Amino acid sequence: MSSSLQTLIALSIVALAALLLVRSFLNKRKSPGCGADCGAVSPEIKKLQAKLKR
Amino acid sequence: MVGNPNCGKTTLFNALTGLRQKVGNYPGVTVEKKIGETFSQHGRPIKIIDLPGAYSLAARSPDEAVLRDVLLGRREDTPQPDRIICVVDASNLERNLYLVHQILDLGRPLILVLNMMDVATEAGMKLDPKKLEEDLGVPVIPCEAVHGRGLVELKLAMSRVELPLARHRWDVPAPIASAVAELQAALTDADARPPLVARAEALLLLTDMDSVHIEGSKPLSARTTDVLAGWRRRWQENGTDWSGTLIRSRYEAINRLCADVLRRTREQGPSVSDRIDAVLVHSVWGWLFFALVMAVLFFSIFTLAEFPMNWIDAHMAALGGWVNGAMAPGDLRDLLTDGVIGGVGGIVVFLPQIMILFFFVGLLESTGYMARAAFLMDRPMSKVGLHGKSFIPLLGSYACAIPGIMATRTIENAKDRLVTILVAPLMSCSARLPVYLLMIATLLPSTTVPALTKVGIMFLMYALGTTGAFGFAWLFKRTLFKSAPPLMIMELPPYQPPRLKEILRQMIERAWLFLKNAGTIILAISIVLWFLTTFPKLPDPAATADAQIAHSFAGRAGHVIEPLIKPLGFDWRIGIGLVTSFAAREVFVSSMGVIFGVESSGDDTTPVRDALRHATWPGGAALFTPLVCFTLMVYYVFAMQCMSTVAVVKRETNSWRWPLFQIAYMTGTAWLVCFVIYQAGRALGY
Repeated sequence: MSSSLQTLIALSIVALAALLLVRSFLNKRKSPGCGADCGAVSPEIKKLQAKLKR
Repeated sequence: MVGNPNCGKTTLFNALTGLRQKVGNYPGVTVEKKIGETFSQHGRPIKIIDLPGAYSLAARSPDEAVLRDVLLGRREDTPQPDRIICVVDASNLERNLYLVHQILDLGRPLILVLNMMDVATEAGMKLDPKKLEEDLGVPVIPCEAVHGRGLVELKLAMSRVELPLARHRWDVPAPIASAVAELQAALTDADARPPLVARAEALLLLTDMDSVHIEGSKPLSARTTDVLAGWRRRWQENGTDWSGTLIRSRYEAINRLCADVLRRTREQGPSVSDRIDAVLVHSVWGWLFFALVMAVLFFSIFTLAEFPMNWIDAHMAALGGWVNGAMAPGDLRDLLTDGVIGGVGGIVVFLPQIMILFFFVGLLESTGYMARAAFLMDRPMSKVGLHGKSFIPLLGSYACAIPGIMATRTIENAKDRLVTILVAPLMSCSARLPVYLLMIATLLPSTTVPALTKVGIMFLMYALGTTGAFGFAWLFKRTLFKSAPPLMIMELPPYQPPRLKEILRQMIERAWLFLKNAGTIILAISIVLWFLTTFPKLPDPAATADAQIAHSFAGRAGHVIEPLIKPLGFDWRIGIGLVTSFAAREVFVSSMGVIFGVESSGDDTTPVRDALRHATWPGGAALFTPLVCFTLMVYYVFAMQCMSTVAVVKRETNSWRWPLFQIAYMTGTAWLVCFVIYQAGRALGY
């Protein structure tokens, strides 16, 4: 793989990662809290949240 | 559905509704509103509201005020329920019947569920549900919600078209009957309450002198308020203890009921739990045992985890080496080795230690010891003016401050609640663990230092956070939030053998969440950080890694903040870690992995701790000296390095004032304490 192609792919991955971070920050602002990241949410509630999302 | 706390109400609610639940908030208050749906015997949908647990209708917290107001029909957002399912703990009948007795006064259709019948039988109690049904005149269903027993009978009772109204009546003590009658008339005429509800509310208003008023509840009419104020005035002038008279009278009625329906099959001596408690909550042995438990916990974290950690470390290094060998030099290869493997691998290595921590936490919870720890902690907490109810939020904050802060909703006093919210993030959460572990590993190599020394340092960090939380609570209670010393009453559940399946399930769940976090947010931050430490590139391809990172975006930003943190012994590279870890504290570890991975030359994929040990200042002096490692740990003990916590504090306090105050006082303290430690350490020659 050429060096410039590597740079192009790497920068695309960086852009995707930045997009993910911005999205998660905006989601956090909309509904502050840990979501499910802290492990404090019971499995029942998580299943329920998944169901409500569907 | 109503009941005392710990009566198994939520278990029963979940068993009846399954996943057909909606969770929201009551408008205007941060009290959870849970509504579930089930079906009658004939397929008709039934909505069930799981109301907050309470010992009485006399509200002392917003949760209890919601229960009171929904049952009395005071809330505009929630209609008065058609039927009330009263869940009681059959092994604590007398105490649980107090709330039932108050609800019976409302004259609403009611089903009484005697839950935990198995526990009552084991405790040597013999209950007669039929007799209780005859005495009260309402359906009484014996039940074991945990095992699903009694659910069919309950559903059949719920499916009945008509429920008999309670025939149990008790006589209001003569000296206050006229007050009840006058207040009842005012409530019926001016507040449009049905006669029986008006009588129950009159009794409550006379008993509940400090009623909590919450947003969303209809206020009482002027006439009722005047009548109530008039009677209260007379009560104060005469010195009549109406409240005590009413409560005594109610308990006498309950005792008569219990004498009728409850028999003890054997004499009740001290139970096994009582005998264990004689040692474990003892004022001396209890603390020694507590210290022993903590020592075993931390010792296990360091000793048991060593083998799997070395295994993960070796495999991460091998993976990095393989990528280096398989790909041609270039940015993508660097991104994979330095950004992805260096960043995520640096944090994943702590997985075994996180799993061991949560295994022990699960073990302590499952056996019932956690409640004893709460009991032991109540005394030091009350010394600093914290409410005993603050213990659970503070204990929860050891895992994560967010659920801890949300758990403060049960604290009735607004000042106590705010103090708890402000100090909760000082408890060392699990996100700090990777930072502590990395610093300890950098500070003390495994081969030369015994595990006990590491345990001691880790214990010191946890103790420092806890002492800090107590110290600030003491300060806040004496300055910003002066209020009377609070009182706590709590239940100690019986000791139980640990439920290993449940503990393992929770441990795996935590491990999965840790990996998920590492694979999403931490991965994304590591990738972005790699970009910031790699670009813009120096025109000279032969430039050193040091010069390249100093020239990068991150290097330039780090140099801007360096003057602020240099007095603490931190350089600009640590500064980058401090800034990025505001997203989440554990990001510091992956940031160090990326920064020092990028800095290390070529194919070197050594573990982060080794890279940190070799890091130097421009003059060649070691950067991560023992003093700097210790100072950095202390910084993470005190600094408010969590974006999610800030967001939750904002939501819970409904203002930016308190989260900003929290950031200022915590990070300010962190800077000041670290400054003193570092400068004093330097002066002493460390």
